Amino acid sequence: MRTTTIRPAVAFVALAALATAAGCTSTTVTRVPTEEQIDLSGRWNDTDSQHAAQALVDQSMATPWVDNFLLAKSEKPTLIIGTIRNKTPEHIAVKTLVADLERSFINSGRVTVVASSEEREEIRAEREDQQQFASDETVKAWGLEQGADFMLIGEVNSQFDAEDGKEVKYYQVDCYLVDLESNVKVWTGSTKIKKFVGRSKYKP
Amino acid sequence: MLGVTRSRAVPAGLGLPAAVLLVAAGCATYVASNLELRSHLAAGDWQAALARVDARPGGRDRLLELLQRGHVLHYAGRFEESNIAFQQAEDLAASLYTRSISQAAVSLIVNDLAVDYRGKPHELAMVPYYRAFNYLSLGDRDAAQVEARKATLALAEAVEATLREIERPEDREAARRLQDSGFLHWFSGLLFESEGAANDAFVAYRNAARAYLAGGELTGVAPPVALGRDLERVGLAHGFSSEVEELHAASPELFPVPAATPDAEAGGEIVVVLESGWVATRDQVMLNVPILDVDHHYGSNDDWAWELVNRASPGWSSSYDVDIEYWLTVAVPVMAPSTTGQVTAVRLSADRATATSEPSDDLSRRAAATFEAERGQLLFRTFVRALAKYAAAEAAENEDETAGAVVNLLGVLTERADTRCWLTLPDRISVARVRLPAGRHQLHLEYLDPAGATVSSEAVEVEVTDGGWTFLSRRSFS
Repeated sequence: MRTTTIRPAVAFVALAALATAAGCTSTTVTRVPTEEQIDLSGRWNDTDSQHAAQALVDQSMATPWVDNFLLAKSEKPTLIIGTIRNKTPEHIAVKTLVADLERSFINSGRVTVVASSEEREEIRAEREDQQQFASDETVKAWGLEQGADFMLIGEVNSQFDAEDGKEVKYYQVDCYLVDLESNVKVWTGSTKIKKFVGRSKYKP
Repeated sequence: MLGVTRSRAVPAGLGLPAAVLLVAAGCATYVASNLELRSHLAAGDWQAALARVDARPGGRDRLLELLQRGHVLHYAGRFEESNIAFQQAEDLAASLYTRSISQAAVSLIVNDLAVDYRGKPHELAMVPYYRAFNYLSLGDRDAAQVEARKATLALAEAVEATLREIERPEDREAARRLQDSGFLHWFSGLLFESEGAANDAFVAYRNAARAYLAGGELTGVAPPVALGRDLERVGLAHGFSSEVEELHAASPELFPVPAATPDAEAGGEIVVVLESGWVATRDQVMLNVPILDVDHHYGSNDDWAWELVNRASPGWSSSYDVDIEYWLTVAVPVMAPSTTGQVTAVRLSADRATATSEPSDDLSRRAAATFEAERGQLLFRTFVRALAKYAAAEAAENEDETAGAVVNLLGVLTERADTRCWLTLPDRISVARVRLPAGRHQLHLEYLDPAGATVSSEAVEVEVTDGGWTFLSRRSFS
């Protein structure tokens, strides 16, 4: 007859206690600086958005298209940020990326950025409202909007490779600055983000 | 001749009340105790269905709770909430890649229900499909495209996670065959084409064709005729003529009807996806497997457990001149038959155009194939556990007969099969396609039984634009 030293009741109780302890969780919330880099799932996040936007604007400002425009027109070029298409299998907050791009362009001080088509609708509605309700001294006139010289368009692509709990995520953001009159691309830029996501195989 | 030498007997005074307690405590399987959810959905009572999901919150079944919550909310038309639940389910499924050692240890003493439910490949792959329809209903076509890109990745990742659980090469090979889904590729292709991404659409259609051809035996679903037309339409119009010719030569069954003329491709496309019936579930059966007097030569419990797996398989027979020392009683899951449902197809008609849906996927067959791939490992774990319980009872009995009986009883009490599954998924999926000229149309949908008789019907208004796509999803619960 097979014999063993297992004390089933003791083993069962010990394992049950271990399982219960492992299951104990509590919620903690800690405020952190917004610039602090925090990666949880490995998905595209706010840090990636900020890095990509800054890298693209730095690239753009380092090329001669702004100076060429200044020489030709004697004024800062006016930009509008168009559509950045998400072509990845992740839900990327493209609006955050657009906002980061806008901010970086405005803060560069070398270009003027005008409102997007969506924002313009709201502004025009307000202007229309002013025509009826604002005083003659403060009402804003129609037809004085500043037209953009260039539109920034782009897309986010990705390649993921995973095996045995390890995953490499590669994102590429490509942007193009297109002359709104001639359709000429005056600048193209690209920034890449590569991440390694490792998952533990086991936990207690 | 086999002979029963003895069977472990529990003293009547102790065993009978305990057996009664076992029944009273409600040892129904996961499926049996949650079938009410299907009744609520069939009655269209979304609130009751949600209440049912919420009545059994969290724990080891948290993933199922989230999947079924997202699913009920999808049918209830609460698309944003559905997406939130499905997102949580996807996040949880990803985090469950990391296995809990303590849970695994407890499962070796108790049963597989002590381990977090991680989802089956055919279940996790359906999340992007439902989320895509949620986003389409919310008017967010870009987000639907993201789901289209996720769909086939999710299936491959889920199969990869399943492979971690499986040791035997033949079982691993069986699991790998689950790694592709013609329907999900096709559905993704339709979404890509609807947004003008012709390259992505053609690649998806080509992958769908390959998956249908390779997986026909597994799912019993042939490549839909409409898929062949999609391949030709997009391929010939966007510079993939040589690829289309190659497919024609290699797999003529993909193209049973001639390509449509360009004139016939004017107008807009209506796509109706019909989900019908209920996916096949797992049932629990009690299995008695003999421990033989010649069994003591095994070097390890693992070797012994694998031998018991063989012994539990159909067709096993013992050699002569062995005695049965003990009958191990274990609870194991088996596949239950699917519930096909009364409605199996939908016929579309508007103006003079008509089209009937084609079978596109069989989730019950996928569930059964997953079970077959997992069965060996599952039985192995069951027998490792049973041998541990057997050894513990033997050891206890050597010290004290009553203690041995108590330990034996504990083993019986905790013996339950893991029948957990996403209960609300459909049995089958079929797709109907029709092209209509631009303008407003009354689209008639007739729901058909297997004989082609109309079970019920409805009419919906659709606004068709040239080159536009309209996606509709319908679920028949009956």
